[in-house]
Amino acid sequence: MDAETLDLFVVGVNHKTADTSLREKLALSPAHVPDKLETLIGESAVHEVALLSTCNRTEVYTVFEDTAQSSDKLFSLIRRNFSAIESGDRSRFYFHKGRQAVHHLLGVTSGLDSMILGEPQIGGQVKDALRLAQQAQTIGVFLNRLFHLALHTAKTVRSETAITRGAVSVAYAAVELAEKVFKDLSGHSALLIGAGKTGRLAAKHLKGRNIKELYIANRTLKRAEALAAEMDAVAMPFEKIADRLHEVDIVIGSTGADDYVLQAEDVRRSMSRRNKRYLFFIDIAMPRDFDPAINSLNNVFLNNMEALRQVAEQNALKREQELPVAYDIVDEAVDEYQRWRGVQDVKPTIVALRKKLGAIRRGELDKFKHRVDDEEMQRMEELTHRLLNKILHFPMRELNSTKESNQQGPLTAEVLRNIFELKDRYHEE
Amino acid sequence: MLSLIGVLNTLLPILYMVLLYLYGQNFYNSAHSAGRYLRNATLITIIVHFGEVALRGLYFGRFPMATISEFMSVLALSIAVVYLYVEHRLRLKTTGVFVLAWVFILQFFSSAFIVFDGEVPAILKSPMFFFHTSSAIISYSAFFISAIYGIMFVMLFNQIKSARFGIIYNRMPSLEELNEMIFRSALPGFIFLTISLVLGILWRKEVDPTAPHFDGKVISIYAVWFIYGAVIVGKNIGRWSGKWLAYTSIAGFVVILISFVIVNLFVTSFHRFG
Repeated sequence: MDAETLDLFVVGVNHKTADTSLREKLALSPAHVPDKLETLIGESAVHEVALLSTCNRTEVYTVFEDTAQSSDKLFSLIRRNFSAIESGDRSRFYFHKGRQAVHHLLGVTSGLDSMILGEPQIGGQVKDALRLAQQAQTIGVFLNRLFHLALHTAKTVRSETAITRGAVSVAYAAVELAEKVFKDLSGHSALLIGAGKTGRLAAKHLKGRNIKELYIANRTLKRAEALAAEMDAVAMPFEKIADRLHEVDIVIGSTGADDYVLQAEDVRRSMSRRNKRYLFFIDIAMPRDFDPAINSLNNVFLNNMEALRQVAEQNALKREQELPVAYDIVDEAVDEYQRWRGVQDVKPTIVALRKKLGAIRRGELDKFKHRVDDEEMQRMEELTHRLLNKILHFPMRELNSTKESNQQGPLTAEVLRNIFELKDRYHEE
Repeated sequence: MLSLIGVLNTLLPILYMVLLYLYGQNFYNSAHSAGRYLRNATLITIIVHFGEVALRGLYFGRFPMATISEFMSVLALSIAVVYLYVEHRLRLKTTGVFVLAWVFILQFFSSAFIVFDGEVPAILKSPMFFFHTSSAIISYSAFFISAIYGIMFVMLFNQIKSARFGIIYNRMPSLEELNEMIFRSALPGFIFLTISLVLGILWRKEVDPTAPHFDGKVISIYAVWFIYGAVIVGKNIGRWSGKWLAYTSIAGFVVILISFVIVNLFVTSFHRFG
């Protein structure tokens, strides 16, 4: 292949550009990724490829022929390899090339493009995408370097900004609030009253914090027992809640009851058996499960849905405020990648040029090998060697000086490749 | 040497101001790079401060705690040392801004009004003066930090109760941790105050057996001793709530402040400085 131009591309859809039905058509489980990578690398224009598929996005990262029709070709490639994608879907795909593609992956990996800003799960998914592509041997030096840089950048963003900090979901905000009261949740027990979705999620997060014991109470004991079995918890009879309040420190209300499940008087009675230990109520039921007067009791805290929402929204806002700093880190990393790429673009040209001129010199010298004596041959060797070095000095100096500037380096290399008919950088002998 | 002492004395408020800035940055943004340098910066400042106090002691040939300015400087140093210890034990830097703000104020006024004069009453050159005052200063520092944590506790408690989640909510540790800090700071304070009181009683008998036991300062310090004693007993035996502990610790420190103002400005006492 002649000195064709290749570049880095990303084509894909995410939660911002495509609805669930389109994302479903493109979604791939990890088990299916290797086969898809095999098929994609078999395409003639594809030189390297990696696939990132999560519930919110599917993206193909590829080193691909850079022509005016690249995006058309990439979309055709998508249509050939993913069933049921129609031409009308094209507007929902994004195509990024070169620097923009690098910027995109680095932002995605750092959680800056996620549905929940800063969510860390995407880092693991990018790592999986890299691993699968490495196993399928569909990535080379360019994507390999890019994915490693993306993972490193995500780590820097996480440690140098507060983009991943603070709960941004209502259920998690309940845990965050509890952690503002109790030092270590592992020494405390919780009680979930009812089976509301957010309540169960909050209880699940509490379990994730290794709480001592999780109790579940429901109007129907059987339902409580089933839920307790599902969540590795202990069922508590609904009518015993008030009597056993002193056994728990966190109470989550998540029933559909019309009246208060607990009155202030119930809590007041239990406080005398608690040795001044704090009791923390989270009311996420609508209508409310707990009498608001509970909050006026000493050492008792009652927070409702509104408070949790406030915490989650404040944290989301704080994360957004971190975006400029996070993007500064990403931009720096993109510059680093581009500089490295500039060097990679130039290095093979330097080697190829030296090799080619060296071969010409050797060929010409060989013609004289039997026509001159050894001494003469030795002098000719030295002369041509010096001559070659002096001639090579000028283009080498130019290439080396443009190495750092990724704008000029590849261009100069391309000109030299054309003039000296050097082989394509991806297909060196 | 005096010029070196002068330079160090001028440098100290500047160093504490820089520390305060770093702790402030860390408070508002825990991801700020300031967080990495806090411990070393505090340690360096403490070493410089200790060097300045030691040089002053060597130059004048006495314990450098004989005037109100000198007392403030040693108190600032002591608070910084106790704070660094607490920070190291609890691995918590976000509360530093509240403590360092007062350390800066103390050192600023000390440096502004200090007079380099070796002439002090002979009694203030006694080793007993050093031990009595040192233990008192350590106890005040510990009570000060306990009271600061008490204030933070009350603020966080009220924010959670009223569901108004401001910067205190965001940057403070849990109520249980603050509770622990109030107690852990008050305990060494109580021990050192007891030592100071015992030494004071013994020393008074040695210096002037006819002097009255009770004066304004002594009465207020007994009150402080009882208040912080109540904090310790209340936490362990009475199982006081965190809010009670916080209020009591704050009250104890208010009594210390009032006793300073009253004794130094309004009443005649053998504890009067300067």
